[in-house]
Amino acid sequence: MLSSLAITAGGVESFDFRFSVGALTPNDILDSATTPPGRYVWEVARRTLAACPTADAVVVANPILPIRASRLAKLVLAGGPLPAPAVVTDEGTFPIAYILPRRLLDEGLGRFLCLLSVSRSAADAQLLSRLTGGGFVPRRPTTLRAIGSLPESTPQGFILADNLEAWLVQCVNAVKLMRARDDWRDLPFAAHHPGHAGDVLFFSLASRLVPDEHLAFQSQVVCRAYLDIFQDCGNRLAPIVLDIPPAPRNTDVGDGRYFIDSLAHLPPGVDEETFIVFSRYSKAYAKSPFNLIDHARFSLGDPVATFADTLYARAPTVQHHPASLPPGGPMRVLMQLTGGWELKTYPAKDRRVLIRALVGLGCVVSVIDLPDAAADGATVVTAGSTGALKALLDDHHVFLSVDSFPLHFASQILGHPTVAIFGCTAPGNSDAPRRPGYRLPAPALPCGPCGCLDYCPLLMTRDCANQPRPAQLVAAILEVAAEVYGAGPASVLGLGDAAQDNAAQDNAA
Amino acid sequence: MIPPLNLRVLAFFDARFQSSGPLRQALGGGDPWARALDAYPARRHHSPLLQPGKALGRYDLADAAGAGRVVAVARATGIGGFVLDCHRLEGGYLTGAECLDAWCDDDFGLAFRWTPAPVDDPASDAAALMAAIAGFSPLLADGRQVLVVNEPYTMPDPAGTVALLRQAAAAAGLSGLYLIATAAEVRGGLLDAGFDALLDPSPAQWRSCKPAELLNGYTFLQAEAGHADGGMFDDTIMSYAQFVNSRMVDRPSRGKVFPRVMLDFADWPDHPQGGATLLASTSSVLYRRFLAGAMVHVAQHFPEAERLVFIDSWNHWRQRSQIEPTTQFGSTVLDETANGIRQGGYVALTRVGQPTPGRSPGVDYDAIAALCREIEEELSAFP
Repeated sequence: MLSSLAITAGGVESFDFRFSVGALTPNDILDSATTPPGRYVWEVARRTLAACPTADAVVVANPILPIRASRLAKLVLAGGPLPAPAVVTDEGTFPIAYILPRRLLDEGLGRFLCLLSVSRSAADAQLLSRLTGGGFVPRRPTTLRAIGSLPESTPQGFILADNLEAWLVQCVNAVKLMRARDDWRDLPFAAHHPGHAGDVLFFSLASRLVPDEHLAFQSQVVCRAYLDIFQDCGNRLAPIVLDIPPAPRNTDVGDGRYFIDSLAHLPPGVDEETFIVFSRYSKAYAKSPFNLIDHARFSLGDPVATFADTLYARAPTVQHHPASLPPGGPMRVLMQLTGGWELKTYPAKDRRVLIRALVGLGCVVSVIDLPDAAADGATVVTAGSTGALKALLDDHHVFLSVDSFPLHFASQILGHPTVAIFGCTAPGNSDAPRRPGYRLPAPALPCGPCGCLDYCPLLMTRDCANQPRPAQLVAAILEVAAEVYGAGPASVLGLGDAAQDNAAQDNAA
Repeated sequence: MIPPLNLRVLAFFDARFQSSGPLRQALGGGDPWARALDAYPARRHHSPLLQPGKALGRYDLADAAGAGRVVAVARATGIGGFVLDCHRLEGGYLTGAECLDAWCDDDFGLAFRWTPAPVDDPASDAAALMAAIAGFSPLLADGRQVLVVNEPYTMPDPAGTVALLRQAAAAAGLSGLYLIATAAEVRGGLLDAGFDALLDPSPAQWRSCKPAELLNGYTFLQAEAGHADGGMFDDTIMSYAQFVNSRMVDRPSRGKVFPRVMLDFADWPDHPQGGATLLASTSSVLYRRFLAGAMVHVAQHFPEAERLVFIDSWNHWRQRSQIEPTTQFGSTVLDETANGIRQGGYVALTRVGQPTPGRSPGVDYDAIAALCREIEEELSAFP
């Protein structure tokens, strides 16, 4: 829950917003995992002031705490006249709410609220002080007993752990920069979202979709390993290249820790002229039903306030783009059957059936980076860069892929005819908007998304049981081929003839 | 909030919680809440029944304001109607619908559930049934009043009964009946008998997954020797995660079957000597996904005027399946229901325009399935 109080000359009006689980009413705020808590302070303040035009100030509860507006009012209003700006704390020093003067938002400084630490009232008070002219910003204690130790993750999805420190570091760095530079209002904002491949793609697409008037960022920190993705996906932000390896895929190094460590490796001078905002995962993304591109749009400043604003309700950014292969040959199918973590891998037994069935139907099958596939009649290929992947896609009619960067690149950037496989992850978080030439045999089991990386927590096996069956995938490939390349599947690019020839050979044998 | 896509989420509702009125009198009076809640676990694995929470309390449906509050809370959760049981009594039927009807409208309607039983005069019985369900704000599917037929396999002649019901509905002035049989898959022939659709049976009626193996041979011997509670062997206990997966796996192959979603189920109060069915390790997160997934399934596979998802239940306290607020958990389950409906509505909406899987005219799905089966067998034999 996200609560606020609008302070007017005549009294107080309270608001309870919520992290949206699907509905986008005026009281629902898009649940974005790539957004630091301070971004919600900005959004709640903006909405509250818009709903209450006569308000002089707004009190916004700390987003990582579950505070209802009624409780907020009791805590905040008990201590006499409200100063603005101010940081409201528990009985100790933990920030539980921020009192923000209207002018802070009217002057276009709302985006700086993304830099709030949400855990250290002294740092946040300093930030608010700089934003409002350098005066003293009081910390106003309440009767709320000390917040005490926080959990590693909250029921509302916030991942605290290392992230608390990351949010604090971004706040402290921002205050230092504001002290050092009189022109701090004009300095650019950079989203620190250096990887991984799919995430860079989502942020790149998001940067193109955020309207100019909402775009609060000018650059993005990106690992050199993913710079080709950043560029080939048409990111409209300026890259700040990070010359260190991406964070490991497992959970050995948390996003917050990586953020802090990586700041020392930024190109020289960047920290003296850029506000760096932690934009990796502040929340568990699978709790939100929204596409990660919408998560990223919200992070970059777009309110995404109605269903019509969301990715799926917009016209697709890319129309389908068939491979330009000469007609008459067999259908060529490219597959990516491994993903960022083990449980995404399409099960070995099923992929053997899948490959053999397609080969049996006369298709030519290529599989990326899976040597075992050769035994079943597939050609093993590799795609080490976006350029190489694009060349491979150009050479195949249909692409079949698990939830991974190649899937998103083919379906969302190139518009290649694609069949998507989702098992242990939620399709709604990262699949493409509907368009001809795209199929998603959606996983049906409620156990997904499970959040596990290398084993099924239900069956204790290495394979995910929520993957589509091989027959579903073969059918989906033929459906897509028929849809994009015209004729019915029986004669798609000679498939019918090839299949008949194969059958004839089998009979003869 | 009404979910988009013309999709209704309905909840089974027990209308007997009233201090006066024909239904109470017919059922012999007494305190209906005491009847529902006065049961105490006899076994260690029986979770106690929960108690009504402050939000609605032990309401009295005979009190118009009480009934109004119940409907208002259901509406706010995103539920689009209740399914009331038809109680047979002296040649007629009572439903309790009169208590709720004043609060219903086009967005919130009433459907009914009927359990067939042998009667001397089926035609009169059907006429009595129609008289009992006519005249209230109807919950419509395909423009017709929804009637759920429980335990349809007990009917000696399903087609004859369906014809009789439709005849009686026409005679009673109903715009038609949308008949839903409680059955897990179309292979039973009930659609051929004239039913419009099917509905997943309850956990007690259909054990869709293997019981959890909670006890090993040693504990079995211990129990038999009287050193441990042997009750677990008398009851069927299903893991909730396995249960919800089994209800959603490969759904399209079962045909036109509406999903029945539930957070919990334990009918031990009605099986004091054993034989109860229980769900174990329930999870509100899985429940939300179960509900949302059911909505997406229905949105994708059912015609627009026939999109229904059933929640079991609104207030079946005696089976622990109620989603009403409780003293122990407050409105957590109700909130999770609302979240599931919002999430399901959103996800279903994002799939608008997506071709329904498995329905491309030129693709020979049977041939593909046969080919894959053949390869699977080949690989099993010669891996």
